[in-house]
Order: sequence, then structure tokens, then C-alpha cells
Amino acid sequence: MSRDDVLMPAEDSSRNDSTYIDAGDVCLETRGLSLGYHSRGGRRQSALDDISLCIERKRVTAFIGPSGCGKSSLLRTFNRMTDLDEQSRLTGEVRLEGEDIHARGVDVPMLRRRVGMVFQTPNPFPMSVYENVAFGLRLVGERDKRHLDDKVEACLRAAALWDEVKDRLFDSALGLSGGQQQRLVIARTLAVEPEVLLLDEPASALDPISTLKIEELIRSLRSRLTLVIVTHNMQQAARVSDATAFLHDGRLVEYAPTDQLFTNPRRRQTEDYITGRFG
Amino acid sequence: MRHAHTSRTPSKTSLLRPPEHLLARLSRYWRDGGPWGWLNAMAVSVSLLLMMGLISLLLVGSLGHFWPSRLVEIALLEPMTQTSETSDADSAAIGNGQHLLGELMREEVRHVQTASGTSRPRQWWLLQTSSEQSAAASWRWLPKDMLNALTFPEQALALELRDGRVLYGMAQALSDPTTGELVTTDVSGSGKPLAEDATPLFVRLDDIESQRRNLAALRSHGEQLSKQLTALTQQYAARHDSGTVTAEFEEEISAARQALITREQQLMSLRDALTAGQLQLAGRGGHDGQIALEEIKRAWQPNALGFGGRLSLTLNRFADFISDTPNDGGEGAWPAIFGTVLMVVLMSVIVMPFGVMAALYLHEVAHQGRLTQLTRIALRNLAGVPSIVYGVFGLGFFVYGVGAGIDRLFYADQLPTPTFGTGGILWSSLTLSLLTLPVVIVATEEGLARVPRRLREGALALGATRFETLWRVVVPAASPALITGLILAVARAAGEVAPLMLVGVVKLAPELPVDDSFPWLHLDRKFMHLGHQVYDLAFQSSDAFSNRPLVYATALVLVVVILCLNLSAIRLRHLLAQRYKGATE
Ligand SMILES: Nc1ncnc2c1ncn2[C@@H]1O[C@H](COP(=O)(O)OP(=O)(O)O)[C@@H](O)[C@H]1O
Ligand SMILES: [Mg+2]
Repeated sequence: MSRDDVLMPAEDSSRNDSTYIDAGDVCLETRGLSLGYHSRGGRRQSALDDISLCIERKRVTAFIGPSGCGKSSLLRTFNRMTDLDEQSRLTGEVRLEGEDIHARGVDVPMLRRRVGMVFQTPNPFPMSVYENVAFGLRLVGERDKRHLDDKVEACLRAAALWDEVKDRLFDSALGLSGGQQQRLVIARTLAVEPEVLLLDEPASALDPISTLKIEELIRSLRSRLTLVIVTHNMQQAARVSDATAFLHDGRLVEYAPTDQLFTNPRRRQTEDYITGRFG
Repeated sequence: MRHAHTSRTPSKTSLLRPPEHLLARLSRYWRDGGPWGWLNAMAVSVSLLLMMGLISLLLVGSLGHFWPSRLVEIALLEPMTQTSETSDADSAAIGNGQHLLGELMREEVRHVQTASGTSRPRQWWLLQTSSEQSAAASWRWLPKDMLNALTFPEQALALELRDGRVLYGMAQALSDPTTGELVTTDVSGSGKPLAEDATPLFVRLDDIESQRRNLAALRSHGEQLSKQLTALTQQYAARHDSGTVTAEFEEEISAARQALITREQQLMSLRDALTAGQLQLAGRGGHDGQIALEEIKRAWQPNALGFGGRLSLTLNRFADFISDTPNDGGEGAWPAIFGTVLMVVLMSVIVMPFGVMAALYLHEVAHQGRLTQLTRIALRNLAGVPSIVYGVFGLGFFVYGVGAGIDRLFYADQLPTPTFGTGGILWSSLTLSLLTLPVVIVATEEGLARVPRRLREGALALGATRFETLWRVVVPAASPALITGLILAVARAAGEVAPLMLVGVVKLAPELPVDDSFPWLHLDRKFMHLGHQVYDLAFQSSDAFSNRPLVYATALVLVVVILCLNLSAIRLRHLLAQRYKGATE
């Protein structure tokens, strides 16, 4: 199999010539993935149309594209958050380490522990900072106080939040600033030791300083797990990611290593978008 | 240049209004909504005034009853000196030149038809004098022109007896604690006659109060001793059979027996001492004669009391009212307070889980289709069903249906006397739970709807199941709303009387629903309720006039009890809202 096939295994591999993912390095893979929403009138609205791509392990992959092009939808199929929308219909395949995540008998909570997700708006639980981080551990029945303490500290350190919250571990998490809350959510997600971390515009609700901190955090996590980040900020994608996919209108237009996509886009549409001529 | 230019240009529309006529100004005032502000303020102040009026009516009406008003001694004219106009039947009955002691309750002008056919206004006074046989106060109407003299004797005594009677009079003599003879002077202290200084009486009464407490302690100790003795005797019998009775053991038994005998003797002498004390009272138109000191619950000299004394006496009597059990004629609200609170607590314990479960199902589990919507509408309408209908349902379903079934299954040996097949506190609480269920469901659903989607997604994305998401994140975040539902339910349930009269409230319950006999909480018992007691005192008693202050007092207690229940729920909601602040949007 050519490397080319691996990156975009669908038929139209002609779109793409960045051939660098080893088959053994593929973490997430979609094949012919389509997603439609039933709107009120009974009409089907397509959000994703025949998407096939591979995501490399322990790299940062960014999804960019204009608003409403289906970036979030694509991300949400990776941990089956799309199941929550009763009107959504999904066809095609998503494979995590080769396993079809939509197969019968898949343990969805287990899948979501392996594929963590951070949302656009910080959503800490109305509990203490400590309990937020311990939440996922308590779910799997962790009771040992010492172990919990250690784990909470390690995760908060990994999320570069420890120094700011170590004196207020038992205060409500809702008292933290927006940037701190988002890093707390990342720490909370790290606590269940996911293999993949999905970030849906994690910094779009934050101020520039907080955004910078989140970006640093993403770079520091790169060695530990596979990251997929959705962003509408192209500079951000260029700064943090190794590979970038450009989506438009539910279709995957171009997918290439980041420097290549930004300096030498193959597609006209991509070029227009990254030079700001549309979108 | 430019400056000069701009300043010279007149602006086209000035910010200042042109001068207006009165009419235009009024119409602008109207358009600006000025009158609305006043109207709203008026509505608020009228509601506040009505509320304050209600509370002060209850306060004045009830505390007036416990306030020690001054005792007046009235000397009546000799019947012979009456003019022809006053010689009607009433005054003949009273007007025998006697002295009357009592509380002046009210003055009234009545028109009396005279022999010559002209109507003449005549002023009457209403005097409350010593109670006679029963606890009911006795009243006398006196025409003012028959009064000869009016005094407020310092030493006039008011006695509240344990059976509820109130007596007025002058202390005449007190039995000597050692000899038992009646003496008219204070021998141990000042040596003044008792009629002038009643201090020894109060000393004796205080003494009796502490002795009664002693007696109770001794009695329980005596019971303990007798139990010990029984145990020893049984042991003795066993040892006697096996022939291993030692001398020490026999000694031990006789010592225990001796201890019990001495204790019994102590008890007897104490009891005798208690019953021996007597007070000779000069009744002044009321009770004349001896009263056992033990019978007296409280004594005071209203005319000698200052304001502070009166106030503390009032509060004491009110506290007694709250903590007493009503016995034949006596007043007391304790069992009714207890019944009301217990019923509300049981109701909350039943309705909260059911209501929250139902709301969770409707909002989180059920498919949001037409059927769910219909169920929701039906539930909301259930909140509008009159409470007496719930009472009828409770009677038909719980009492005659479920209760009778339980009796047949488990209490068949006691039939035809019903155990659960009659009204009781369990059925009352269940009926009220049904009544308040819609309120709890609606409030909880609204709370659940306000928990943002991102919180649920956050929990799900961490690998929580739907159930874990609900119980660990959604329900806690919605808990202030749950408590709001509880507050509404309590407020509605605590004041309901009508349905309860069908399913378990009685005028006088012999026992509280909680006591020290197994299983402590007796769900089958009938109970008393403040709301029902108000109704009963006001409409069902033979002596509505003298009961009126008690109606106010009971109503006041009911209001305060509901207020306390609500305040504690509100406090709880406040704490939860503090904790989950910002969790809902
Ligand atoms: N729950 C939903 N129900 C119906 N339509 C949806 C839903 N979520 C997303 N869509 C539609 O799918 C398309 C893609 O949305 P989304 O993935 O959120 O785009 P992006 O994140 O790129 O802005 C949009 O047209 C949106 O209207
Ligand atoms: Mg999006």
C-alpha cells in the first residue's frame, strides 16, 4: 500500500500527494464517513459527505474550514458524541486502532475514556477543582485517597494549572477564570488517560494570553497522545499542528502536512481560504 | 476659523424640550409610565398592609388572652336602693350587695325598654369572674349604674389550675407544712397576714414545683430498683433449685428489697406532702374555700406586676400553651404542632423521591413525543384539582382499599377493629403527597431544563453513562430547583385541612404518632393538626366566645410552624444554590 493511500484511503487519493503516514502509525481512520441531520421538515441535511482520512498517532492534526463546514461534526463522530443527537444518521466507518467504533457491542463509555474531548465553552462541573479532576477516576471506582491525590496533582501539573490552583483545590471550579477553566477541563480529561484528545475550538472563547497557554499546553501534550484540534484560527493551526485538513461544505478538500498546506496548497479552494479570499 | 464657524451654526433640534402646557405635561407623564410606578407601589403596600394586619390580629388576639390584665373589685349597690328602672331580672340576680372580683373585658351600651315605654341607653360592663365547675370562663354582665365602688386590690390573686380553671380571689390562709393547720399569717417571715402579703404562697408553690420534679426522678429510680429486685428473685429461684444459695446472695437480695421499700416510703411521704398543702381562698363572688396547692399550676398577682413581669408571664403562659396537651378543657397545641410537622415531614419524604423520579423520566428518559407532552399537561392540570377531591380519593383508595386490604392480610385477628383500615397519619401523608406531586414534578423539570447541555456532554465525554451523568452532575446542579419544588409542596401541604379530615385528623388524639413503644413511629395512628384545631375551636365547640383567643393563638402557631418549615427549606436551597452557583443558566 502506498503511503498516499494511507493518508486518504478513499478513491480520490489523487487530491493529495503528501505521503508520509506509515500504516503502523495510523491512530484514527475514517472511511466514506457521511453524517446527515434530519431537520424539522423531515428533510435530510448533510453535514459530512464521504470523508476518508487517517490521523497519525502522537501528532497534532488540525481541522480548519469556514463556520458550519462540519468540523465539529467530524470531531464528534470520533467519540460517538453524535449518538446524542437523535436526528443524526451516520454511514461509513470510523476506526480507532483498527477497531470499528460503531460496531455492535462497543462499550461507548470505554471508547469515550480512550478518546477524550474538550469543548468550545469551558464546562467544569459545579464542584471543587479537586473533584472535577477526580470525577473520571471516581467513575471507574477509584477510592484510594492517596492515589487520587497524586493523580489530581499530576494531571493539574500536566495541564500547567497546578501552580495557580494548588491553594484552592477545594474551592468551586466555577470561580476560576475562563482560561483556567479550560485547562482544568483538559486536566480532567487527561485524568482518565485517553489515547486521543479531541479539542473543539478550545481557545475560541478565551483571551489572547489564555489562548497562548492552551497552545503551549497542546505542544507539550504532543509527545503523550494523539491530538485533534478544530480551529477557525489559521495561525493557530499553523502554530500547533503537524498536519492540517481543510473542510468545506461537509467535504474534505485537502489534507496535508501543515507547512505544506499553508505554503503550497494544491487546491484552489484551500488557497482562497488561507489567503482570506473567502470564508 | 473653524471654531467660530461651528459655534455660529445653530443646531437644528435642541436637546431641551420646548415649554409645554399642563395638559401636554400630564400626557407625557402618562406616556412615561409615571402612574404605573405609583400603581405598582400601591399594590405592594396594600398587600404588605394586609399581611401586617393579619399578623397583628393574630398576635393581639392571642397574646391578649395570655396577658395578665388587672383584676378589678366591684362593690355592687344594695338591691333595695335600686331605682325602679333597674329592677329587671338580671340585676336582681346579681345585685345583692356583694363584691365581685374579676377581669373587666368590655363595655357596651344597650338600650333597655322601661315600664313607661321609653327606651333608655344603659351602660353594661362584662366581667370575667372565676371559672365554676368546668374550665370555661364565666361571664357576668353588670349595669354600670349598679356599681358602687371600684378598686384594684394589690393582693388580688389569679390562679391557673391544672384542670384549666382560672380562679380569682384573695389569699386567706395557708396550711402549715408541718402541722397541716390553716394559718392566716406568715409565721416564718414577716408575720403579716396572708391577705396583705402572699409571698409564702409563692414560696410554697415553687417548692411544690421542684418536689414534683423530684418525685418524677424518684419514681423512675424506684422502677429501676423494682426491676433489679425481680431479676434477683428469679436468679434466687434458679439457685434455690440447684441448692447453691450463698449467704452473700441472700444478703444482696434483702438489701435490694430494703432499698426498694425505703424508696417507696420516700415516694409516699413526698406524695402526701404534696397533696397536703391547702390554700383558703376568699373568692369574692367566685370560688370560696380550700384549694389543694398541688392543683395550682400558676399563681400571680396581676395588679402588683410591672410591665416586665406581665410580659414574661404572658410569654410563659404562651410557652405552656405550645407545650401542653389539651385534656378535658385544658388548652394546648403541642400534639397538633407535632402532628402537623410530622405529617409534613412524612409527606416530603414520600413526595420528593417520587416527584424527582417522575420528572427525571419525563425530562431525561422518555422520548419527547406527543405522549410525553400530554402526560406533562395532564400533570400540570392535576395541580388544580381541589384538595377535597384528593381527600375523597385518599379515603376511597388508601383507607377503604389499601388499608382494609392490609388489615385483612396482617391484622385479621384484630378485625373488626380496623388498624390501617381507618384514617391515619400514613394515609394523610400519602394523600398530601399526591396533592403536591405535580408541583414537585413541574419545579424539578424546570430545574433540569436549566442545566446546560455542555455539563451533560462534559460528563458523557469522560465516559460516564447516562445514569452516572444524571446522578453525579445533572441532579446536583438542579438540586436548588428540587428544593424549590419542596418549598412549594410544603407550603401547600402544611395548610391543607379539608382532605385530612377525611383521612386521619381528629379533634383529640389519645397518643402522639411517635412514642417509646416499638416500632416508635406508629403510622396507623390518628393525629391532631393545627389547621383542624383552629376549625374545631372556632366552629365545633360549645363555647365559641371564650375560645376565640385560642383560635387566634392556634392560628398564630400554625403560621409560625409553616414559616419555620419554609424557612428551613429556603435555607437549604440557599446553601445548595451557593454551592452550585453558575451551574444553571
Ligand atoms: N444537532 C444538529 N442538528 C441539526 N443540524 C446540525 C446539528 N449539528 C450540526 N448541524 C449542522 O451540521 C452542519 C455542520 O455543523 P458543525 O459541525 O457544527 O460545523 P462547524 O463546527 O464546522 O462550524 C451545519 O450546517 C449545522 O447546521
Ligand atoms: Mg464547531
